[in-house]
Amino acid sequence: MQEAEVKEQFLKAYEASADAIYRYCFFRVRNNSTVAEDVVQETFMKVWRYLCEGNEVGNMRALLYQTARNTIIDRHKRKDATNTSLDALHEQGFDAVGQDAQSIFTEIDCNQLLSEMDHLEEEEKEILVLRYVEGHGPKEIAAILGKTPNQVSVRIHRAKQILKQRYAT
Amino acid sequence: MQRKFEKTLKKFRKIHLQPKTKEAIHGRLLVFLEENPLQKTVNLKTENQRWYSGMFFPAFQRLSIPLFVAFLVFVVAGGGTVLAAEGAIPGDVLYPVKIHINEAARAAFVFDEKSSANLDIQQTQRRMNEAEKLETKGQLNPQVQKKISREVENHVKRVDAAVIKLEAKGNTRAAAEVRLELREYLEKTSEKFSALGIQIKEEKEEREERVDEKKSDREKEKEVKKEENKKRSDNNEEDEEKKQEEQRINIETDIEVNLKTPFLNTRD
Repeated sequence: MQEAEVKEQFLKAYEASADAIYRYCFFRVRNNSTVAEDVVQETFMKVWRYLCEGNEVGNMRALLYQTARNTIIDRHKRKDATNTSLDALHEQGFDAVGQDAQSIFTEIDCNQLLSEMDHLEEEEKEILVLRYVEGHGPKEIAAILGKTPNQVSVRIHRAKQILKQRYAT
Repeated sequence: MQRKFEKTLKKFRKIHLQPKTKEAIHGRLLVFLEENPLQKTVNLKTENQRWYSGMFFPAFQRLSIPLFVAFLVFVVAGGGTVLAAEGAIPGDVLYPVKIHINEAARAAFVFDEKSSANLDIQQTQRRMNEAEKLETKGQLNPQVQKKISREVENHVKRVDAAVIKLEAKGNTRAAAEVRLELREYLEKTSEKFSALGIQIKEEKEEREERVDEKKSDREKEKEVKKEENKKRSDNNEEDEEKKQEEQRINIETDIEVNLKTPFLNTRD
């Protein structure tokens, strides 16, 4: 593939996946939209560097999620700036996210769900977001997280059980 | 029944990057890509490439899922039904097979815009033949006319799309040939189509407008070029005049100098 072609495909991948990666980051960085935006940019730059090194990419979307995930973990390691409480989330203000998000966050259901999700393990929360917000199947989630589809299915089931108990069905 | 939390989670799909931010990151990425060129050529698989791509041969890379299924049906059914469907007309049980399998399969094995456009023009002719058959049978009712009109419009739209793609690729010659072919075909058959009660919506006018626009653009370009050439020739003339003037002045000064030089005077 010639460079111009690779660039075009890469920018197409950005157009197609930027919002999904942003949503994923948004949940992983405790709803901090500014950090999520930074992570999106850093993710795409890292993936381009990976291509520059001559590496082949089999599944672009999975690579983007993996890179975003690793970027967030690196950031967490660098400074423990995470704020886990829902109050902190309110303090940061939902005005930082898009208008659509602002309107949906005013819904009690969403706030309640976010609060309940805080009781889940980080990975379970991540799997639920990938499964129900992004609509990925266990196979794809497994490719992103480096697990087997069976393990992912088990985690989804477990997380659902916890939410079922805590959250009104 | 879907659980409440699942429904609520789906609401989060509305979260997205602000368009301005998305645009800004896109811009920064462009700069980054320029600053960091690829060292080697790489293989980048995109979302559009299907799981069966490259399974048999590269031709499959361009097949969409319905076409791939159509191909499988073609293989599995041994072609019997598919062949029988070739003579089907609207209203026949096998007509959908003709349209959605036979013709789709044919289109799947065409890999350039020009051939694809030609195929669509041929298929427009097939629609006309079907309408004629129906008319002789006395089965050409308004509903069928509407259906065939829609099919013909779709073919014409696809030809237009192929022209646009060819132009975008810079293959203006092929684009012009296809456009001309379609125009000639429509002009030749418009009476027949209207006699059969098949209407092709304003696409034709739009196409002609587009052709006219292109013509006027070309004319404008020609005019601009003409003006430039004229200016250039004017400038050349001016330059020549200037040169001649300079030469004249030089000669005059030489003469003056010669006259003033005592040596020359004494020699004279």
